[in-house]
Amino acid sequence: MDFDLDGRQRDLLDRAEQIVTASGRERAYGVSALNGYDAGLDAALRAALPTEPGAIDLLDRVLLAERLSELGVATTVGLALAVGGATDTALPPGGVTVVGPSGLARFGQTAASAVVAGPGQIHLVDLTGARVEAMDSGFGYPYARIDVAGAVRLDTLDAARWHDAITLIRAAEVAGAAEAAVERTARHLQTREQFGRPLARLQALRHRFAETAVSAQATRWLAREAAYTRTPRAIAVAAHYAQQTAAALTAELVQLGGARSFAREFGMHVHTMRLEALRLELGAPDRLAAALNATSYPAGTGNGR
Amino acid sequence: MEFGWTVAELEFRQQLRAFIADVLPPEWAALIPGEHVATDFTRDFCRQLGDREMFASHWPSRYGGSDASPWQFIISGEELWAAGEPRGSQYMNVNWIGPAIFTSGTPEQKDKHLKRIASGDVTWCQGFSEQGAGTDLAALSTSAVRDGDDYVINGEKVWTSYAREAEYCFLLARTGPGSAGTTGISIFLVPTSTPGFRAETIPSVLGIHEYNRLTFDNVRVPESARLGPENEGWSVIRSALAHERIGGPRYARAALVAERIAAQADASGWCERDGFSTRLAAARAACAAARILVYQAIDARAKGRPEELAVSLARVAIVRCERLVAELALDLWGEESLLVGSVGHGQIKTSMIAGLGGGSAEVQLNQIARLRLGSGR
Repeated sequence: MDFDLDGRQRDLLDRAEQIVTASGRERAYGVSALNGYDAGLDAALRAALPTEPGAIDLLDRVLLAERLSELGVATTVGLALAVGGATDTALPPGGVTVVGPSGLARFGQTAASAVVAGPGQIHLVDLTGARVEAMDSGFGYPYARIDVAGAVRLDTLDAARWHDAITLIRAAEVAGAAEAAVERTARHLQTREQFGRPLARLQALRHRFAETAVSAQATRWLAREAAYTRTPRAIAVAAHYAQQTAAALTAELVQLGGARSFAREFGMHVHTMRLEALRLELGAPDRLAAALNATSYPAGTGNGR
Repeated sequence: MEFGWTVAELEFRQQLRAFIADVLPPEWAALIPGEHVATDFTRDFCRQLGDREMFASHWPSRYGGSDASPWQFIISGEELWAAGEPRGSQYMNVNWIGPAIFTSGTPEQKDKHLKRIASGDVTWCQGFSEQGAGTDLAALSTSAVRDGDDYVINGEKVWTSYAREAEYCFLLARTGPGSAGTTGISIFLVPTSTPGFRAETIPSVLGIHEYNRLTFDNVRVPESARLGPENEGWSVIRSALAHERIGGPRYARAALVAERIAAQADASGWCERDGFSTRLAAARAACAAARILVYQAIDARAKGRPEELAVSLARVAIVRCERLVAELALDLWGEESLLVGSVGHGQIKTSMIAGLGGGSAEVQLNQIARLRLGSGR
């Protein structure tokens, strides 16, 4: 066991952070706050980070996705990290997206390719001939509805490998958004004064805040551990816990943030609304629960007698 | 970053698991940790663990351990706690009493206590809470007044587990005249055979081990019974409590109960009951969350880093998982849970303790808030 980043991992995360910083963190955050797509930053991140298949392992991908989510940037790189972790075929140039069961796709209007679940198969398709319609959504990312009828198939993905990669990337994105939201809430509680003192002095709020910090941390480490062990149980646990965290923290952190949480200028919505979007992408709680309960403990490990 | 076990750690777990399977009677699987505190069996079990260098393996070898990594501490905790804790009360000795002595004790104290602890041959209790000092432990008023080369202790401790079987009490008392709060507190290692010491049972609903009231009526102990510098016991106890808070890996037992529930559900068709699947999954995930947060704390400990935040996060997660599993067990077994020996009965009792034993969960929430938000004052 070693919970520290190794040199390569630290270098990857530093590189991502440097690119975001160079592009202007407040500026990048501002794009996200308006539900936008940060084309320049996205291109810079895609050029600098090794999202290609085989370039890095799944844990590295999860760490990067978590960090980018924590930074609150509007990039397709998180999805590229998932796709790159599920295929051995080189990805086409441009952004990649994932088409959900109802045809909705995060950053769909700017993507060049997409992963689509067909009957019994998962395909990577070129979106050049597809019908893409930008949709109105207030959930932290731009969404489009994509009809892939005219898209050209590029690759067929292994379903299990794809499931593991996209599940853990989404769980990691929940972890990053949750930690960022918790940290933003901490700053709010420390600086916002009511009743003549900072809100952070009120024990009722302190305890509720602390509970959110527990959930955020556990989400982070469960996703990271699952990316390392890649056992079905660990992946299912990470997904289920992330879904629960996203659902619980949005309501709780909005409440702790007060009416400011609704204001775009405050910026909390970048994380809270994304948490809601991500939990919907992860799937319904009953299905995640059924998936978890269908797995068994890996033998010989902690609390898995 | 990696989340695998070393070969030595895997072997240690397998050896310990095999030993438990070999010597532990089957009925232990249904016991609540702490139900058997200090029987001939638990004493013999601890001695056998000691003989195999599996009792305190993570301790330094000069104190009776094997210089193994702190990960062996949590591995043994997981395996033994999930098995009903056949160490009885002696799990405390390994978790924090011994480490407090080898961190702050005199050579004579180390010589006197550590080898006995490491060989599984001695029982302890902790003299912490008082009627006016529970969660606010620093409000304690039990006094230890110098009298020549001795201290004379007077006061009362309450809600003390394991006291009637204990040979020693790890006692907090106030030595600074007129002191208040965390200053002026000292630690004493008090033989329970000392005249003036009395333990009496406080009847409780837990039914798993006795709660006790300890009375110190002019208990005279030599200066050599004091652990660490006079009036500076608080720093020792803070470190000890960090060990205590995650020392009993309750999540391991809760996870085992969750698996029993799942097996019973498969056999009895409970899976079809409304909400069962989502509640079972939530309980299982909560156990895993507690485990990984404990591992985070152990990682910090192994590297000699501050572990306070990680310990508090883990402790809150442990309480959550205990309660989720208890609620599920109670609801599913229904009236059967009313019976002593039932899974529901055992789990609800352990979950009731979870948020209080080793310090209240609210203190952990306070700690997290203090470290993330500031002092709050």
